[in-house]
Amino acid sequence: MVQEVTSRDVKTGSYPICGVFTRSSEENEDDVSEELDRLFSSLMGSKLDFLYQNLPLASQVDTSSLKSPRFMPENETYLTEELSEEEIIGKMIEYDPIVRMAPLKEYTVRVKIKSVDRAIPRVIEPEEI
Amino acid sequence: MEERYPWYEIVDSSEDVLQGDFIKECPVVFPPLEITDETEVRVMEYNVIVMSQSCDLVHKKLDLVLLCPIWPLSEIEKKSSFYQRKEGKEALRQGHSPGYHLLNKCKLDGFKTDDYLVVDFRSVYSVPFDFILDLATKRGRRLRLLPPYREHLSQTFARFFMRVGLPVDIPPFR
Repeated sequence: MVQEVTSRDVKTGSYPICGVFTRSSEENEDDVSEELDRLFSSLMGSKLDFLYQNLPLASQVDTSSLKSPRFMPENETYLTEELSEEEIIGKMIEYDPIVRMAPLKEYTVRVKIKSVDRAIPRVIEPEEI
Repeated sequence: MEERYPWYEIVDSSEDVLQGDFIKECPVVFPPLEITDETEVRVMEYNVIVMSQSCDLVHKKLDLVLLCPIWPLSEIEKKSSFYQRKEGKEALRQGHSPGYHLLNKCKLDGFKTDDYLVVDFRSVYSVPFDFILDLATKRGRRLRLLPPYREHLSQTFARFFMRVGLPVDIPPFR
């Protein structure tokens, strides 16, 4: 008798297969790609993340640790600045300095007021009703 | 890409004034605090861009035309250390400075600008329609901002104008 082995039955000491099984796996359907994906993500999550955690932020490679490569940011300030792009944008939004510009030319003229009239509204009626 | 979607064109002085038209050295009259029979008024000249909607202008549905001053970016930089810095200019470029709008350099002969241009939304002037028509004719050929950059300018102006400051804002996420 051949016993069907499902992914639920697979146990390893080095990498736990975690997560809720999807309907397809519960129904013992062969979904190899799904299991491989899960396995890979589990591996990446538990074992390899440390290698890449600073990869997007890396500015220098610490060559002294070539045996166990780690990507190090230059300093904490650099790390913070690189991580908080949204914060920088936020600062930009908040920071909206007003620049008062002088005109190209300025002069005064003497005018004689002919009349001061009470304004009347200029009514524009909508074209299509 | 830039050739397919040019920012500017040069139009003849006899053409209708539209939104996005540049008018050089437009005088703006500032009324005195008190108006008497004979009085002195201040006049300031600005290079301006027309902000009123083109359809209102073409159909002459306006008595007054809305204008905003434009400045070379270098002039703004002289007055503000923030805009001297890269982040300040990026804020302008990305539209994070709501009071200003950045326009591209113009490479058209006779209207070349060595610098980017900045439209100042905080200084909005209106002048009589007839006055701007007459002035546009006197100034000769003029530069015109083309779609979609014109609509982008208009939208940015609307966004600036419709801002709402909340008395109690939601605190930032940290």
